[in-house]
Order: sequence, then structure tokens, then C-alpha cells
Amino acid sequence: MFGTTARCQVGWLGRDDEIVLQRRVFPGGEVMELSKDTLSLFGGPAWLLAKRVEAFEAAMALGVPEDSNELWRYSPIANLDIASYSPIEPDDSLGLTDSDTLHSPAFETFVNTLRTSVGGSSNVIVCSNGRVVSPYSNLDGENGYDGEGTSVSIATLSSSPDSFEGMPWSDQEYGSDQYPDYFAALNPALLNDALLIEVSPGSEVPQPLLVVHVIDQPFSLVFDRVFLHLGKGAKAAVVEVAYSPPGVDSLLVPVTEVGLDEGASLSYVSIQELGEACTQIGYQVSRLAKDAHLFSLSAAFGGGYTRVRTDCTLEGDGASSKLLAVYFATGEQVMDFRTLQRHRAPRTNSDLLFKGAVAGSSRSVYTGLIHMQKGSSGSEAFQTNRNLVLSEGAHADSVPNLEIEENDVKCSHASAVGPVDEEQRYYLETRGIPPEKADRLIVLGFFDDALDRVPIQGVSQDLRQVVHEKFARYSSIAEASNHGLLEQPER
Amino acid sequence: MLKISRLRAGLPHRMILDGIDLAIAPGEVHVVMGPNGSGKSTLAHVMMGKSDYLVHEGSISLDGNELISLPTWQRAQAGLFLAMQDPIEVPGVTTAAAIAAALLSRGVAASDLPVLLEEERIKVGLGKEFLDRSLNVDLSGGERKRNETVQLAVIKPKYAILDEIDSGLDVDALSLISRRIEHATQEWNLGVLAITHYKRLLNELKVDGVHVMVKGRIVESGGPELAAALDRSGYSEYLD
Repeated sequence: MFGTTARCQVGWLGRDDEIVLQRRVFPGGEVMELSKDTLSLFGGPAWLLAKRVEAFEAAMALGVPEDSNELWRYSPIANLDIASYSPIEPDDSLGLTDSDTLHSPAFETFVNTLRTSVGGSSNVIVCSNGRVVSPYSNLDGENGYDGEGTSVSIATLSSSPDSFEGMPWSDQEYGSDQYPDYFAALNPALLNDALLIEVSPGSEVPQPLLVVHVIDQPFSLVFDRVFLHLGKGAKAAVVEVAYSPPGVDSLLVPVTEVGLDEGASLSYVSIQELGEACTQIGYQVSRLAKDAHLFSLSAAFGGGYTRVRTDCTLEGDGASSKLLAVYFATGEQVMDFRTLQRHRAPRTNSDLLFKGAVAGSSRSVYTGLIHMQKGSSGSEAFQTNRNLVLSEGAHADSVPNLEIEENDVKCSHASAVGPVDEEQRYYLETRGIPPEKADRLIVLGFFDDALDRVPIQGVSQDLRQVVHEKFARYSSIAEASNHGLLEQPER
Repeated sequence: MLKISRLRAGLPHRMILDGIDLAIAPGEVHVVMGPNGSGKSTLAHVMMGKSDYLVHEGSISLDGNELISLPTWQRAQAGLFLAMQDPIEVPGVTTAAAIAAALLSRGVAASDLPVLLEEERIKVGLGKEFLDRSLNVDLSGGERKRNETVQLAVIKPKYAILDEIDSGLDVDALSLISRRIEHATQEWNLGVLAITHYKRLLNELKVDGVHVMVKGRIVESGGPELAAALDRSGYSEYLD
């Protein structure tokens, strides 16, 4: 396949002190600069091209982040060799229709398990390497691309681009560049497709919608973008999953934009089960109008270096959000979470709970900010990050922060990093439970404490299973290593 | 027989138990009373093998088997149980799951566990919902003690150390819990070492021995009448 299809590679070269995004086309060795003039290659109507150029310029202005930047502190961004990844060309049909991964038994089992977990919903939307596969009909012979009546409408950027014009592509909130950072700006500049899920006002979607992102093109730079928009009083649940086969070394830059109109309520779960060679730099952005409610859980298990930035803005009076995450890193994994709880309106409430475990020589990073802006009086915000450090070689950083510009607000933050609690272990031991079993109970319980709060039936059980399996794998490795059966990983 | 001999133990650099001798036969109830700081809770944790404490001298044996060198869980499996004064919160681990793990760890099939749990929680007046809640999380003092008693009754140890099982309990709860324990001394010959400040625990619990502990030593032993005397006059005569 490699010989017949054009592949391009992005490189960052320093030239005249400028970062130049370069495009090389194989085969043939033709080198072409990827610049605002060549962005039209990525297609779309005039407004989109303008958006691409604007975003591209913002990316160039922002520059590749450095770990001296507070929001990238503790991250291994300096080790990321961006030049080894290529954006997928618009005319590249690779992975679109005949992807081996989509038809692999492993993937079908994966998706069907998830579908069963969310209640057998037929609303499965698959995005393959940044493009919405439409329709995708290989799951139990059903059409997986079914909006189920008129209350939900699903559109793709490639087929009906004009539905996307009014979507929040950028935000003044991030200053004159309108994007939080380089990767967030590259997303609209270079994406091939996007998904829009809209729920009409007043309607309730009975079954959770399932969006599966598959990345299986090696060395590719994949941009996913999903807009979830719930009209006034609408109610829905969405589960988004990122999956890549083991060994696929790609860079995924997914952006999910949630917009909730007055009184709307969304339960949202994102599950990251990427293969360990994959890198992810992701964004979850939400804006809540008056009395809207968001439940969000981000579950991270896979990937090499994976990052999620969560920005939740409570824009309307009485809006509320629960922001949860569970993460479990083993081996050499690095998991990185940045959160922003932005309160702009009175009587808003946000409650954040991020819980993770690190084992082996893995690392996790959490930095978060509660920002009580002018006009947020009567609001409450909570921020809790708890980390279990299961091995001596593992490490977790946790930095919670508050910025308060309004009176009459209530904020609290807490963070903890430490091994399994000795008192908890002792308590279980006094019941006759051996320490290894006690630790297993405590670690799984630590996650259950968050997973039990997921309002989407079946999903918490599914995630619990993933945690159990990962813990079992980790324990057997740790045990083998304790008995000298495995060589210690090189540091 | 649970036998403690010449036990000297404490924290690093601080001796707390200064030569304890105590013997409890199956089915017997012994009460250890004493002022705050006399080392009663330390005795409970040293018996259980908590790693914070160092044993300098002496022996703790259960049916002739020395426990001192065993880790906590093996002492528990040998037949010892500690109902804690302040039971620890374990988020995400339910009472039912912990008891199931405790039985499975002993190789006991837990097939009739739901029935047992239901019977036992009713006996001590613990709400059904607590069995499926995280251990001790958001439980009142009284609920925690009921919960400890349910665990004790299902696990059925040979000997139970009750560290102030009566603190934080109202009269009704105290009555249910002490009755359950009294019944256990007959049902499976449970031996009990109860640490308490109050005589009221003895109302429903038939006591075989009362021991006064002061500054890490048992300074006086007697029958129930000793508890009554302490209740009237306190520990002042032992403290100087």
C-alpha cells in the first residue's frame, strides 16, 4: 500500500528563527512546504479554508510547546519527535474502507462489548484515522450510522460542511491566538473530517451514542474533532473511545467540543485504550448555559504519552458540572491531565475528582485551576486529585490551583500522592486478607469509588473490567520481577 | 487458649507494654479497663501484629502456636480478630466484598454469604444498604461498630479483641452488639478480650475476668465486681 499512495511527512525545521511546517511527498522525494497557501489541499468551503489558515497561523505563532511553559510542566513534550508523524492527505484513501483494523476480530469484539455495555445501542459512529466512516455497517449487520429518529442529527464535515460553520472552532478566551496551544490550533488547520452530533431542544436520547476513534496508520498525525451540541432541555449520553492496535506509533490530536444550551444535560464518558506506542494530545472543551448539567468521565489506560486538557466553562446561572477521571499507568507510560474549571455566572457548581494509579516506571501529571471570574458569586467549586503510587520507580505530580476574582464563592482543592494506605491494608489484614489481596481490593476500590458515579449503565462495569485486567497484568509482572524472573526495565 | 506471657512491646524508643500476662480460654470473656494512655489499644494492635510496634520480649500464643513472628493476616487466619476502636475507611471496598475476600482467603466457600450477612446485619440492627457501601465511609460511629460486629459474626474467629466496641453507641445498639457477642461465646465458643472504659458493656456480657491496666501493666485482676468498683471510684488509687 505504501508504494501506491502518497504519504506526506511533517518536519519542523528552524529557518530564519521560524518554525516551518514542512511537507514531503513520497515517493519521488518531492518536498513541499506545508504553509497557509497549501492548506487548500485539505479541502472544504471558503469559510473553512479561512479557518484553516487562521488556525495554521495561530499554531505557527504559538510554536511547539516547551516544558518550561506552566501548562506543559512535568510533561515529556521535549522528547516528542513531531517530525516522525505525517498528517494524512485528504486524497489518501488508506484506512477508509478496507482498514484491516476495522475488520479485525479484536476490534469487532472491542466495539461489540462496548455496545453491549451501553445497552446495545445501534448508534455507533466510527472514525478511522480522523475520518468518519459513513456508513459503517459491519457491526452485527446493522447500520451503525443511524440517528434514530429526528431528535438526534449527525453530520460530518466532509459531507455537509456548512452545518459546521457556526461551531466553536476557536475561542477568544485563549487570547489573540484563539487557541490554547500549538496542537489545538493545528487541529482545525489540518483535520480531514469532523463530526457534529446535535440533539434537538427538549428531546431525550434513550440510548447512549457511541463514537469510536480508530487509529491504525503508523506514523500518522491524526486530528479528530467532535462537536456535541444539546439544545435547550435536551438530555443525552455519549461514550467516546480512542483505540489503536498495539505497535501503531501515531500522534492523535482529538478535540471534543461540548455545548449545552439552557437546562440541557449530558453524560459523557471518554475511554482511551490506545496501544502503548501511540501518543495523544487531546482536548475536551465544554460550555454550559443556564442550569445545564455535564457529567464527564475521562478514563485513560493506554498510550505511551497521553495528555488530556479539560476546559469546562460554566457560562450560565446555575450551570453545574461533575468532572471525573480515572487513569492507570504502568510500564513506561506517561499520563498528563490539565484541567480548568471556569466559573463565569452566579450560582454555578463544579466538582472535579481525578483519581489515578501509577506503577512500574510510569508517571502521571495533574495540574488544575479553578477560576472564579467576576460575576460568579454564590458559586462552588471543588477539585480533588488522588494518586496511588504502586511502585518505587513510579511517580505522580499533582498541582491544584485557585484563582478567585469574586466574593461570596466557595472553593476547595485537595491533592494526594502516595502508596497504598498502610492503615487500610492493616484493616483488611486483620480480617485475614493477605497483603497482596488487600492491595488489590484497595486499588480496585480506589477506582470503583469514581467509577460507581458514572450514570451510564454498563460503562462503569466495563471500565472496572479494564482496570481489573490491567491490575492483574501489572501484578503478575511485579511478582515475576520480585522473583527475579524478569529483567528490570531500563531507565 | 489465647495466652499472653511477659509481653513487653512499644514504639521504637518508647516502651508501652511493660510485662503483660493474660490467658483467655475458649468461650471466656475478659475485660481490660484502665485510664487513657495505659496501653490498652497498643495491646490490641501488638496482639494483631501491627507493624508500627516492636515486641521486645514475651509471647502471644493461640492454641499453643506462637503468633509473634506471624504477619497480621496469618494471625487473623489463625483465629484472631480485632474490632477496631476507629474502623478505617476503605473507599470503594464494600463490607460484603471485604468479608467475601476474608472467607476466600481462608479457603472457605462463600456461597451462603448473602444469607449469613442478612441474618447478622439484622441481629445488630445494621441497615441493609451498608453491606454494599464502602467500608466505614460516611458511617456514624454506631454504624461502624455494628459493621465490625457483622464482620466478626460472619468470619467467626476463635478469639476477638474488641477495642472499645462500646464507644459511640447508644443504649440500644450497645445492647444488640453485646448480646450478639455473648451469644457467640456459646455459639462457637468465641473467646473475647474486651477493652473498655465503661461497665455498661458488662450488662449483657457475662464476664469471666476483669483486668486493670495502668502504665502498660496489669495491676489488678478480679471478677465483675472489680468493674463495678472501678465505675464508682475510678483509677485514682492506681495512679501515683
